[in-house]
Amino acid sequence: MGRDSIGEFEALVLLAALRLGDEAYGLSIAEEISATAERPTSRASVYVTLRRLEQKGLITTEREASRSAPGGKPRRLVRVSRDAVARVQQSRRALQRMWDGLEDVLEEA
Amino acid sequence: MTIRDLPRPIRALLSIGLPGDWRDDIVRDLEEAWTRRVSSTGRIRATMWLTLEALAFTLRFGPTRIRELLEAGLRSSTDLRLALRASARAPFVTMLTLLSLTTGIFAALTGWTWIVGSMFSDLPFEGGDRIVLVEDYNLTGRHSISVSPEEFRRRRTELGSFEYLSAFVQQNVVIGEEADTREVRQALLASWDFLHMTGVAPLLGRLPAQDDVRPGAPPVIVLPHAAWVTFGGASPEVIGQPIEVGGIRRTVIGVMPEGFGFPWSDDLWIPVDVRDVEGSLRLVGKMKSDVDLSAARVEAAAVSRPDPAMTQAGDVVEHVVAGVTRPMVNDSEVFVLAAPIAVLVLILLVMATNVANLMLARNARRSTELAIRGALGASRTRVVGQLVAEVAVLVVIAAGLGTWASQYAIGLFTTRVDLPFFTDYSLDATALLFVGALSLLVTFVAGVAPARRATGRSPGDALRDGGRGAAGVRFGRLTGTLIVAQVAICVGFLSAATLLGQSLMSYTFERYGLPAEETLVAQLYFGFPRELNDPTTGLSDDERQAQQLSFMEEATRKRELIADAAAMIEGVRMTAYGSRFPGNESDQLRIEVEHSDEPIERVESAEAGPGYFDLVDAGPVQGRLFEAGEFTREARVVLVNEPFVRERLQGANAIGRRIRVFAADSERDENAPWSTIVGVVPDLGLNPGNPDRSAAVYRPLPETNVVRMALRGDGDPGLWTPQLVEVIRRVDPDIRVQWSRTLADQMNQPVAIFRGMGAAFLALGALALILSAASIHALTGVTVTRRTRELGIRQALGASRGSIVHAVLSRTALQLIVGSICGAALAALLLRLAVVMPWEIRQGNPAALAIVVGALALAGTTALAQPLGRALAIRPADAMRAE
Repeated sequence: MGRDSIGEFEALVLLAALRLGDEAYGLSIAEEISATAERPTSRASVYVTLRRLEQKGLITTEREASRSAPGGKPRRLVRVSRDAVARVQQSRRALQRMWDGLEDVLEEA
Repeated sequence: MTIRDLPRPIRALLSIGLPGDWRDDIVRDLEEAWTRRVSSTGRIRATMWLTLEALAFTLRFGPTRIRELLEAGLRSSTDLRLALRASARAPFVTMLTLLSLTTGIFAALTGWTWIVGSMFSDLPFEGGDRIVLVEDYNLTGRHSISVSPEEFRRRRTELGSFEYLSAFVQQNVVIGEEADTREVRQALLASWDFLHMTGVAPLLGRLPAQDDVRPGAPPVIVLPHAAWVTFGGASPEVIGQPIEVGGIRRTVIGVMPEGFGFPWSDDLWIPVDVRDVEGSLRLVGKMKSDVDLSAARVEAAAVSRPDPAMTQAGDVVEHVVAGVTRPMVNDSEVFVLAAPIAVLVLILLVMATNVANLMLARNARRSTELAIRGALGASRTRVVGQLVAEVAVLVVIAAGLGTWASQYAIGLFTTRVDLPFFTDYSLDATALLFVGALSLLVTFVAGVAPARRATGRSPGDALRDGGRGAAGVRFGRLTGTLIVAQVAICVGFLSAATLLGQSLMSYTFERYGLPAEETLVAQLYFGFPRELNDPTTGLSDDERQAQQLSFMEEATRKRELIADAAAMIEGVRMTAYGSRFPGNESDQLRIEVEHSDEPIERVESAEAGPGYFDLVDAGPVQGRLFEAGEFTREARVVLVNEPFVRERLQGANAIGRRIRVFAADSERDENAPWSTIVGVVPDLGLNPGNPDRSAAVYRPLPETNVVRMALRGDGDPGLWTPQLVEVIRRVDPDIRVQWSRTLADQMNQPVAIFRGMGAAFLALGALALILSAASIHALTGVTVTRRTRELGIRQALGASRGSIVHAVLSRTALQLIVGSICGAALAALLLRLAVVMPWEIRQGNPAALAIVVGALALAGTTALAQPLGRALAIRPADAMRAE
């Protein structure tokens, strides 16, 4: 995998964060992947991935103000960077190109 | 929704398993998820889910955490250098810390090794853990119940849990023919397959076979390695050679390997048909590999039929099946064994907390340095890490020194004491883990807490206070409690040591004028004839009693024969019998004096045979001694000693007064017969450790099957034992010498134990004293610095020197007083533990307490003098400067 490419699970985490917008944090991202992608998701893997994405500069995190935090305990909110959005799009296009022309084969299978 | 905090153990797990930069956030999110689950599924299921989740997180972040810890390790090499430098800069604190931690670790590890080695060693051969003693114990009469040969054969047939079941009896025998090499050794007369159950092959020759015990077979013997060296010249030619053992020539058929003993020591092994053996048979068996201890116990309890001659109606009999190496331990008693280790660890912890005090004071003085490090960008974790490393270095050195000292002390002990051959005090992995755990605990207590305390403030605040040195650090309730604990230990152990020391000083048998160096004492056992213990002989109780009486009378006649023959041993001038001779062991009775309001109390007691008092050069001070014809159970005469007259009769005339005696633990019996005091003898030292409680009563020695014999004469009494054993064998081969020692050894025996205990208490107490003084000195010094401004203002406002002293010392004085009170309670507790020793220690001695309080006052004054002087020298101008 190239230096600029992202893995499948990284893409899922980024997409979940984008879908959640201002409500994206570790727990909600894990739940979003489980619910929308309909696949069992290990929470620990989500946090390991978030930490790696942060180190790569693909997300930034920020702790919310205590006042507005649910239960008075502030969450670490996740923002997806422009660079990450570009890479997700790139990943989608790459996959799309690979899909093209395979409709008949995959339908038969 | 209120988000709940995670349970503490889960939080602790996560604090170890998660990376620092995301730890708080992951914990927060888990708290939210857990709170939701608690609402939906209930607390128990939610917590189970959480536990699995926390484990998954820990595993998933494992590689990351290991990398982080390795990086921290690389950083800590710098911390190590800084730590060594800091320790070198404060040599006094370093030495004190090393001394206290080394002592604490030494004591805890020695206790651990001793208890684990003594109680949990295994027989060092395959299947050794399946070899067990199979015994009956009369809980009511508190004695073992011997097994008849018939009962042994029955059990061997019926007990299906055992692969082997053998019977044995221990005897002292004389081995060798030449006078200069002849010696008394312990022999095990056992079933022929006794050694087979060990699975150990002989070094030379063979193990006994069944043919060796058939009637008419030539007598044989298997030698232990040591006896092979002594009596066989370590020559392979010894096999097939005869050797004289107990007056019988036996052919050596085998030699066991070096270091082998069974079941406890390297005895001589003599295969016999147990039907030919008199005396108390004991059983040892090897359980089948698919049988566990509890199943064997259940079966033994069902099959065993204890000897009716050794039990009475209503007696409670326990069927014991216990490992050969741990007969004293059953599952519930393990907790009792853990108690001394817990006490030692507790002492180590108090030592560690004291070191924490010293570190707290040292860190307080370095607050500026620490603040500058913080201001230059060092994180709090980094600074705490360095302070902890300073302590950790000392803990590692102390652990090494303590371990070495412990091994050295145990090595010294084992070379001087005869221990079972399987006892293993070597330093194993468990002991090393124990030391490792102790070291971590001590590092945490003495390092982490003070370091976190010292770095808890922002660098700015610390630097602002910097001009006042330790001004910002305050010593709270915890510090005060630590000082109190320290003082308590100091007072407790010093008091106990002083009282023990006094007891030791008062212990001297010379003042009794006994011929201790010229006298040998031996215990003789006249084994019951087998038919008296055999329920199958069909004797009625009356017949059995009559036969037992006749046996006792016969034993008494043999006693006289032995005495006559023993008097012929070269050097022996006189002999005497008694139930006990002066010395350390206690044998007490409860005494009621007729027409006296005195409560029934315990006094020492002994039964004296003919010649008893002559042998120890003691004549009657008043009245007479026992006369011929009075040495029976029916005799109603007693002698008392002078302390008895003083204490129990208030010095009144004793002759003609009547007393009656009850067993030490029995109730008063209105029908018990009275006995008349016919004479008064001097104090002969039945309770030499405690002259204040040496009242004693002597009764005539009746017919008995266990008796002690004393031989007095010229030369070394220790050399008479082989000849005595030989003399006894000639009178009756079934009479056994169970032990023998000189009267001096008997009387001196407890001194070594007490000397060791006293020295240990004294060392702990002295160390606690030094540590307390150092703690008080360091903390008061820092307190004075912190309160410089306040003290200066007090001076300016005209405070007297007395009020300054009060301001500085009131808290310390309170700590000393509370600590002393707790220490007195601790001393009482320690001395209460000493009642297991064979003689009593005088308690509540004001002189001992005065010595301890004096030592404490001296140490306290020395510790406080310098900081107090500084406090008194503070002037208002100093207060301005301090600001």
